Amino acid sequence: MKIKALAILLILIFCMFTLGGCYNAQGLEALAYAVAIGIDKGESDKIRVSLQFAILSNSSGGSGGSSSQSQESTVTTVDCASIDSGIALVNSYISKKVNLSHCKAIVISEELASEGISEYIYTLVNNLELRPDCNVIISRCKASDYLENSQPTLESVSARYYEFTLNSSEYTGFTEDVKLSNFYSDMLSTTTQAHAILGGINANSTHQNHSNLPPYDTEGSYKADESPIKSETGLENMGIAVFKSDKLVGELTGMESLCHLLVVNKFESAVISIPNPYDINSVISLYVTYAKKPKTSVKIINGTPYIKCNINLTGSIQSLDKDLNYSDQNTLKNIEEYANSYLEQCISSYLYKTAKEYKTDIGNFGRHAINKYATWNDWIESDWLYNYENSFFAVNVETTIQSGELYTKL
Amino acid sequence: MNSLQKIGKFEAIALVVIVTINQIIFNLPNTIIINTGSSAWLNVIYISIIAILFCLLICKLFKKFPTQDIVDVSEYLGGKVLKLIIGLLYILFFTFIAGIFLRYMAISLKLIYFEETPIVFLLLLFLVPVIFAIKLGIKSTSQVNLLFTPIVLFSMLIILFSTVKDFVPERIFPILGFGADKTFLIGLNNIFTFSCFAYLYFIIPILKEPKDFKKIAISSIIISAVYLFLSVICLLMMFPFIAFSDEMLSVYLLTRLIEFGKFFQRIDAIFIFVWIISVFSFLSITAEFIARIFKKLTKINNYKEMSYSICAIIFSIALIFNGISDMKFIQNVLLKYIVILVVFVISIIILILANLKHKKENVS
Repeated sequence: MKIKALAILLILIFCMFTLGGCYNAQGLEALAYAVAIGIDKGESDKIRVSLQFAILSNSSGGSGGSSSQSQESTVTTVDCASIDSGIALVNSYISKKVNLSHCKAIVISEELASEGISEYIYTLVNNLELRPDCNVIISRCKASDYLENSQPTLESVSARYYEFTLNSSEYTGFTEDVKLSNFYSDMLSTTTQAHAILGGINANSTHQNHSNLPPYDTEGSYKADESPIKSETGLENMGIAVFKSDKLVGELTGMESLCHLLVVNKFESAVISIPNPYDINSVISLYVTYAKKPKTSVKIINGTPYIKCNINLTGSIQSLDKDLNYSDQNTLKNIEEYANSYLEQCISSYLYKTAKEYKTDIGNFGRHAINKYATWNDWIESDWLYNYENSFFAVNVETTIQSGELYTKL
Repeated sequence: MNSLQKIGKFEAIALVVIVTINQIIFNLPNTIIINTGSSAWLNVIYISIIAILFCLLICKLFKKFPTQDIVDVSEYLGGKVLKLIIGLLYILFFTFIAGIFLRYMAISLKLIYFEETPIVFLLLLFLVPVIFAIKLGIKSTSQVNLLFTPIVLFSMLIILFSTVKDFVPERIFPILGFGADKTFLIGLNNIFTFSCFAYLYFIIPILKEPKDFKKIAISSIIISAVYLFLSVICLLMMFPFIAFSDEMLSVYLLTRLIEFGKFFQRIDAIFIFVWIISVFSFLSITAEFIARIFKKLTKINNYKEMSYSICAIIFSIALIFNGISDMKFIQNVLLKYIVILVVFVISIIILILANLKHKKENVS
């Protein structure tokens, strides 16, 4: 009798664990995976939500391959009162359940961002499906247009396309890889303010002519959609969208973004152009990385923040000039000095732009000031985020240039 | 008690430590941070020192009663009436703790993975193994627990150390958080996170070597304190909003951020699986203790047959709470005072008075 009871019990336990999953099982064919969400100001309702779906290769009849997705994607747009109600409407329209677990990018239009986006960010952060590592992009165009213009040419999987496109900041420094979790944390922080990736659609009509600038300043002076590139890929992410609280207040160019990364210790490597000390009309390209971590200190002098940044870089010269000898110590020293003063000027300009023009601390300098206060009340009373606009800065850059690459002299 | 049903040193340490680990999963670090702000790490060091001193005091007070638990001591002090009161108090305490913890975990699981599953099924998922655990006895439960505790501890370390890259150390400032009074005076209330003391009060009679009690108590409290400190400091350095927000599972937020390169991402499911095992252990141990106290009070022969009733009571308590708001009120307000009153006030008074009585009897 006991053995019989035990056997029944074992069968029941076996069924419980093996068949339990069938209770609310959902097959892949019942789900629609969104790889990006776009949020715009609505025309017939409060907001316009756009969802870019990856089309599974089987359902699109693709030739297959190692990937489960094809190059194709589709964008569905809906005017709605909230993100969740928009998703519900899309659910009913496409007859599949929208799933955000593979969403790699949240694109918000500049127009909406300047009015405040906390409501949407809170909703997205509260969504369990959405990964905290998906990127936040502020598009200079409509978010729906941004999604419709994403045409992966060098990547077959649309979700991976976003991942790789946004990772380029690691070797260009022209934008920052801002994730939803960072954006949300910064928005609620008392030591810093939020910032996001600046994106846009690059077209002939949006190209900017910066020929009036010196040659070494040209490539860093563009923002998203402005650089004179001709390619099939329509999207361009360059620069940083600057927020005060939850409102967009300004934009940084590619070079300013690089300076931002240098100051906040998020810089990996980049190629920068500095003036050639021996020929004012030409430039020298330097490949730079950190020699050691940047040091930042904040002193409060008569209630005004005094911020000191020490940045140590190391690099090699990538360009080659017939008249220059990169094995000569004096030449290298001269180039180092030019690089230092050029970067100091760029970084100071970026810092004063954030403090005086945008009045927002996106460099998280508050974290270097907070240890000067004993209690939370003292810190809140100091009103760092407001006081930041009174800051003045001292920037010191030390660049060590090793040599050229394969050749040191022609 | 049958010597085969007695547990060793490491089994006992694992038994106490798993209680604290479950407290951490149960979001208690968040409660500490909400009360003290950025000084939560300082508060944890402070309450940990007090907990260790308290532990030494308990070891000293139990020296006169080397094979007895708190119920036996209360019988010695106040006879059967006091024994009944303390026994019932602890039965209620353990049942309440198990009930709210069970409901909290079931709600969290429902939110994360089992959106459409009725809560009753999730509650039963946890309670069915508990019935078997009571039937098999404390030895089997604690041995299985010893097997899983290192895995649970290791998984917690992975969570804490794999998020190091995103730490902002300056978030531990302002050093005094919401104020010195909130950190050291009102913050003393946070000692309720060491509710594992309640289990220490009952562990002596089930030890193979009761003389090891001091080693077990000190080791388990130190391990608990280290894990509590690590979890609090990780949460503080990761999330600037943590002192003002209220999450369901703070440690789960950490797991969502874990990634090893581009390949290993979204591995939170592994941690949830480990936590489910740790909840099984915790509920089994707690239910076993309830059964043992009940046996002491009623002197029934086969207390293992009580497993169905005990699980039914825990199940009913878990069903009492209406939703997350009820749970949050209990977690942030009620639980604190219940633990302090039962574990840190009433029990210690009984132990001190029993020692005085013992001393008086010896003198006379």
